[in-house]
Amino acid sequence: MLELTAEQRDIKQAAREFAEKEFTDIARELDANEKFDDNIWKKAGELGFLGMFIEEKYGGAGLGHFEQCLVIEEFARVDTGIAQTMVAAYFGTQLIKLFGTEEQKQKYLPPVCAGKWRAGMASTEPDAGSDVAAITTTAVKNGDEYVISGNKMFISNANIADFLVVLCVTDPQNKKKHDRLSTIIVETDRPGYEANKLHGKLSIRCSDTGEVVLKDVHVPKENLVGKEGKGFYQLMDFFNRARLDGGGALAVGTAQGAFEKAVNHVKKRKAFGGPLGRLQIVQAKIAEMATLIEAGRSLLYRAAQKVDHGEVDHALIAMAKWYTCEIAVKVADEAIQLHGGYGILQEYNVEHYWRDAKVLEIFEGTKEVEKVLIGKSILGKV
Amino acid sequence: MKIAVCVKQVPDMESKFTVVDNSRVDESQIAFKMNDFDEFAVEAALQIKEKLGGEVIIVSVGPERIVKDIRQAFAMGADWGIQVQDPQVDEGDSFVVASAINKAIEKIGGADLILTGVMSNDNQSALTGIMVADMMKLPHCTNVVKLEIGGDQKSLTINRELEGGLNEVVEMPLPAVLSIQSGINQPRYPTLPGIMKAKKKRLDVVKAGDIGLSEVGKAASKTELVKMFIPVSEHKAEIIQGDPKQAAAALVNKLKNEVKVI
Repeated sequence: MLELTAEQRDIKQAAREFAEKEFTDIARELDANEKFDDNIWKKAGELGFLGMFIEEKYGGAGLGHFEQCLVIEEFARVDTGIAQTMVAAYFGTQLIKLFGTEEQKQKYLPPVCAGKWRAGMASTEPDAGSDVAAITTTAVKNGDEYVISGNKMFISNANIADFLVVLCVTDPQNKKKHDRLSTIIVETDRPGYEANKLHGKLSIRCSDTGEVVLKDVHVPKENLVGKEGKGFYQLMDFFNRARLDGGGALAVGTAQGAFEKAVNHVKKRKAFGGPLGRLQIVQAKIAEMATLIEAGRSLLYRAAQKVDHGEVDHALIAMAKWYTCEIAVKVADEAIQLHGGYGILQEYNVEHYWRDAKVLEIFEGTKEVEKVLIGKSILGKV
Repeated sequence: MKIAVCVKQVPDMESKFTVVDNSRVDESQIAFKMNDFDEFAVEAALQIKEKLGGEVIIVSVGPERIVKDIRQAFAMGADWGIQVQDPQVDEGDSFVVASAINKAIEKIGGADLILTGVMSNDNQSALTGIMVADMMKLPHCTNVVKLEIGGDQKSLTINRELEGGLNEVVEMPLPAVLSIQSGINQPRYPTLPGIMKAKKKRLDVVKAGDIGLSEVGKAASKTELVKMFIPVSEHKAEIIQGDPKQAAAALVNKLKNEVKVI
């Protein structure tokens, strides 16, 4: 593992302390009831844990995506669902930071960092997920405005965000379908914006996920982020940041949390005349889990640090996203296995890691999409 | 107001404790953290500073590893600190540590108010604050659960926690030494900007000689550690057999006369 600086260790420790004290007692209740406690989000904002990669002049800490990963990893170690709500709170700000105007940065970034506004990113549609360029939501220019119409699906914070960055088709006639898209900020209090909460999720149940209906929503043309026709490319740049904390760090933390539960259990649970941990088959499982986590963490940390050093290695980021999310499922699965029958009981507080880990392989780029990105990067056009 | 807060580093009580040579704990298996009671003391000092202005200075005795907890106090909002980092001091008992704190506070020019935790999570001696007060010839109160500085900033009113849920209210002059009890406040989390500022804050690292402390180590200690060991826990359970009525009566008798809980 890469060595952390004293400051990075302090940040990680502070995040751990915050998560252990604030999440532990209420996580299971929030998960069961599909509810969230806004106080946690507000406190996280006050402490500076949201959008840490945003420059200080826009309310952030001026640190890197790597430090944000350290914090989200610690949050997910205690509860993936709450950790994901934290990620969701600033989801989309990466795109505004990269491509927004000075006015947009001043208006939208500080309240998100302070835990006063929630952001969101809306690209997926009922019939277009991984195939981003197939979206049909349109933004038609009308004088000084865009008029936006369409449906979005699986949108984090759909019902509670203050604004969403929405991927729209602005140039439907363009021969290159990737050049038809643009990203536009839509405030959720505008007439024509509607959202419905999706219930009964397997994973991240305390986090708000919804479908969004945009019916002739008028937004000023100043809400365009970056340039018209560049939306697809901006989105890829956005994901090259957002997949670090919103994928890899959630996954490493989830795996770590499940692993610690397993270690604790096999030290205490007695069978065959002693603690389970004395059995070589159990030791082998623990060894495998620890190694998978270390490998995933190293991959993630390297990918994040490279981004912070100005080198966006999209294949390495894709490797980190795919691998960490896959090992999170594997490690959480083994953690339940090591608990035996107790593992499937909510009371033993380990099954949620497995439920939550599953969505990590799906959102922010499925593991299949990540593999395609890696493969294309290696093979080029063949 | 110039407030000095004594901060000790203690083992995280969830660590695995193994006794070595019947005299010490194997530190290699231990994670360290700031003493819980000291965290309440830091918070109490910060709240006074926020109200009345001034500065909060962290005073600590111990090895290099303590710096992380001093930095935590800095990240919470303390202004600067002094650390007595001297293996010879560490070999001493509470008296030697109190002597080092006394000299360190003298070195920084004294303080209007000196706060310590009521005791440490590990040794639980509850001696340091009292000894420091005695050495400095200052008034002292233990078990402080509420404190209010007088308008003239020359006196303070405190609540002490007593057994049985009682509180007593005491007025005393400043400067003074107070041992802070848990529950006096809710210690704040370090903020991210706080953590970033912490690394730039001043920490004076001194040895015994630098603060005029000549007698250190075991020779200067007032107590001698004879033995350290982990007691064997005995789990005893007695099943009272027989007729339910008689068994119940026997149980009541035992609870009343043997265990004396009813």
